[in-house]
Amino acid sequence: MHPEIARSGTIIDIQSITRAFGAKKAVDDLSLRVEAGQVYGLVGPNGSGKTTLTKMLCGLVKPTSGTAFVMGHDIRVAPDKIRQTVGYMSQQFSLYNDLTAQENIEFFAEVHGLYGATMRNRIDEIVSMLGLGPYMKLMAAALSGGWRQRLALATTILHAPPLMFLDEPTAGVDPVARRELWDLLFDLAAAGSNIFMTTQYMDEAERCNQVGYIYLSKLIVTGTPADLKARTVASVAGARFLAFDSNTSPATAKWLRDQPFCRGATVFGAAIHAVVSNDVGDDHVRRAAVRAGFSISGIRTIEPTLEDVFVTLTKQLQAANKAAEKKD
Amino acid sequence: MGLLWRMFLAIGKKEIIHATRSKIMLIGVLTFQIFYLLLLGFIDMNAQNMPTVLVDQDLSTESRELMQKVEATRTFRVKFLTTSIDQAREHIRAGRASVAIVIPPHYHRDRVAGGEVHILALVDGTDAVASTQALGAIEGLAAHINIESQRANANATGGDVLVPRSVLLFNPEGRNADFILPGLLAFIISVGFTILITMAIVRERVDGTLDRLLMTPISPTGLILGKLAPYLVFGFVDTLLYMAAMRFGFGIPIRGSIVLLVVLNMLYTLTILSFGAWIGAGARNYDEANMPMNLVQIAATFLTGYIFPLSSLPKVLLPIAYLLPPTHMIEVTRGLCLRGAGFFDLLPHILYLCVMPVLLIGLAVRRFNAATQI
Repeated sequence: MHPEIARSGTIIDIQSITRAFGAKKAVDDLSLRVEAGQVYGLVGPNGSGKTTLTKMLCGLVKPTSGTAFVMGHDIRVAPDKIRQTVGYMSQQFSLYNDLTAQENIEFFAEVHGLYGATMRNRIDEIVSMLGLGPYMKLMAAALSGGWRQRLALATTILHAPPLMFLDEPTAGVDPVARRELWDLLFDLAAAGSNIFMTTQYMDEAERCNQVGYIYLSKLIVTGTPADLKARTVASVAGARFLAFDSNTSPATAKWLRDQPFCRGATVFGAAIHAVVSNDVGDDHVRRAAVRAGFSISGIRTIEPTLEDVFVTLTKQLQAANKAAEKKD
Repeated sequence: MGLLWRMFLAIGKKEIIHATRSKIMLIGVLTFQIFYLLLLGFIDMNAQNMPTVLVDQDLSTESRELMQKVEATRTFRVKFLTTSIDQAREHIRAGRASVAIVIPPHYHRDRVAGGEVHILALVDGTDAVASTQALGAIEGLAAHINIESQRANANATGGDVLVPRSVLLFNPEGRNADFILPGLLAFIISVGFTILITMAIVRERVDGTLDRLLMTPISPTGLILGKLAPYLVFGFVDTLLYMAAMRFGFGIPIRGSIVLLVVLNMLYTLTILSFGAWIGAGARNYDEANMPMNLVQIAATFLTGYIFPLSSLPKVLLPIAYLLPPTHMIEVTRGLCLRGAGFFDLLPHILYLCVMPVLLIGLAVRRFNAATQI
């Protein structure tokens, strides 16, 4: 292990990595550098390649071509070194259901080479940090989603890995437990852990230092959330992001998408985020909506959310792909 | 069409999808009866080529003629020729032969004189089917000779010239328990422990805990050995309990070394566990593990000498039989319990049981690595 890498420098360096399963490419020619000292969030829909990429970085799946260096180790050459160094929390609950929380933690402590007083102290420390105390005698199968994930996290951080891969750590966890779990992750990051995680939740992505968006096996964009938003605003030249409040939001959004001045509209509960051409004013849009029989109670210019960023980028990409197909 | 009927059809339709989705399952479901048919159809219940010692104490033309008749039965294949009954018993005790036919001195003289001649047959009583077959074949041989001789001298007394006397060695009363119980332990261990260890390994893969284990400093060899070890202890306890019950509950003797018996049983259990680990190491799900386990069960039942003696198997299946661990352990247990066989008598089986676990664990680790790093 290179301790200096854990604190500064490039901790993950992915170079044109591809992984194919048969004819399907789960990860396609993906390159990315992640610097030390941050929480990196990889966002993308189901089946976009997040899990395959994470497993490759952990040394659990071999790349078809390209490679990656994790903490200075080439994943093709020394996957075992990486596996022993980093922490990995898989998407699937990977603890023993018929063992108690205590037995699970002790087992993983022992297979990581901890024993005796060192082991007991480390377990006590983690159990109190994660608040697992009252649950230690319960079978893992009896724990609720949030506590199961905390237990999984406990076994992941036992050996104090300098880098942790968390694959959708908050999937299936209720909103309150999700927030608490996130506070814990930030505590860990503040204490010096590097975290690479995947998520489907935009609010979680907003909290990461750096975010990447993976779509159809390719990395579309990476950067800080603020940077990505700024780039997106720039990318929709001649248009602006507007939020509409409408009590018939799905129907209104559907109508909006058909309007020549609208480049895209997404429903967020009772609100709609849309990219509207600068050629038309807010009032023009409101009058057109009323004429069409839709009620709009408020319009305001907004800074795009990360979801707007990803939706916009995806649309731009789809349009580009279509254009390329037509050319062929 | 009624609603219930439609629902019934929906269940059936879904089941067909399940059953046909996995090619291996579909092939299994449609061909297993043919597999059994071929296997059992070729097992000839008439034991053949039983290794035989001919004890010729007469060394005459007539005794050689009798020897030819013995060989002509196809049941017996004369492997050893001797003049000493003790040596013949020794061959049987060591498991090198299962029948001895003793031609007494004066055989030639008595035949010429026209009186009754007794021939003695010593039969290894540790295998129920084989010994019954041997006894029948000897009776048949004597009857055949008697009829021939009556035809040849129609004027003679008309009495039998050849009277066979048979002795069932090591199980004089022909007790069923003696036949079945010593081999049963090896059979149970082969079926039960293969399932236990295979499932224990496949479960890690199916539940996703395997990936988690791979993220620890444990090596695949350490992982597999660590999974085997507890079952070896269970196997040890099982063996001791079984032997105590067999010895004291059913009065089955353990004439050979009990220490050797226990040690070999441990090696055998380890062999079975390593084999199960090999199956589990390559299976991605329970279905893929089930098919080979079913084959193991069939093989352990029919091809290991547990029910059908090896002498009743078609020749092409013999190499398979000798590749299977239970074949060796059943032979070892019968030899040690009933015949009082010694270390050197069992040497080939002992060597097999020493080599196989090492070989199989090596193969299991290789297979595990191949299945893990895809």
